[in-house]
Amino acid sequence: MVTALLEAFGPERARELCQVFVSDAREKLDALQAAVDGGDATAAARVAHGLKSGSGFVGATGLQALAQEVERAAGANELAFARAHMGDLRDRVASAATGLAQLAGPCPDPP
Amino acid sequence: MTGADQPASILVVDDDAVFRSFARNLLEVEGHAVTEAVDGAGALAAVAGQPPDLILLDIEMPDMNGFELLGRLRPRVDAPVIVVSGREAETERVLALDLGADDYVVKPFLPREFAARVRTALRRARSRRDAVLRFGDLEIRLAAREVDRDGAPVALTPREFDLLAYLALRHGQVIPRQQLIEDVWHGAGAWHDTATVTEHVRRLRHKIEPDPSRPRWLRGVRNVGYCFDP
Repeated sequence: MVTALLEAFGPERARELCQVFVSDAREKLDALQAAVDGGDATAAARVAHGLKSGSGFVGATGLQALAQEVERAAGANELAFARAHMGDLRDRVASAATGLAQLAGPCPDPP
Repeated sequence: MTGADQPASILVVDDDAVFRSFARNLLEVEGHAVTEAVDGAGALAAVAGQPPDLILLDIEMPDMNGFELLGRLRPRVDAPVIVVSGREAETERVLALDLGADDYVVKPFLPREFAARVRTALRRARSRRDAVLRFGDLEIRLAAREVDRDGAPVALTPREFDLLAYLALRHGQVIPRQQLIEDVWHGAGAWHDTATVTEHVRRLRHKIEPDPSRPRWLRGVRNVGYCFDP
């Protein structure tokens, strides 16, 4: 997917997309954590859905798959799965950011 | 007039920052101008000015979902709408298409395929806009902005043509005067009121109707608006 992005966008635009993705993913992780802490399964499902979609656009397939599982579980009002996998989700976002930086160039940390 | 190989103005409506960035970068590389809206209210405000040539519309948004927004956009905006959604269910696809979407694409997708879908939608829209509308002895050539009645050219002002084309493209539908003000005049100037519409219809009738006192094409609906009868 990143190769396709690079071909379609060129390196500068691919880097910008990468930056937006990393910033957005971190915001969504915080929002997901808040939803889980607050017992709001609907919000958790919505945020996980967004995380799944965004990660798909940058080819972060591992993150995409886990976000999909979280979305499915939260959609069934089951927040324990999300709670148990928050750390894994954070690791996968970090891993995706590193992988994207290697392919598209550095993805600076959001301010 | 916008076609596949010409720059188009494209409105991207999605609360997802990653998709908006993806779409904007992709479409700008293709030479298009991109406007973004993060919710339904922003989208409605964006089309109230100069309507875009194409709209990319997400379904899941916080203030109003894409289906509701599509239903509100469709009567007013001729531009093709491509629904982009994470939902794969057939019922969602069918609903979107029934509400007037031109295409339905499930996220995520590869950039080149998506760019091709945008080109196709723009090409179809150009064909639609290049169409010639014929109603009896009345002929409206949309691209050339020309009107003939009984084979003779009819001289219309730009606004008269816009009004006639708008109503003719929606023939059989009663369009409220306020909607005409918003969509034909594009909210250009708060001084326009519904009397402006009445006056333009009166002038149009004198130019295209065989008997303006007994309109054949431009039927008035009391206290509502006007309908182009095919």
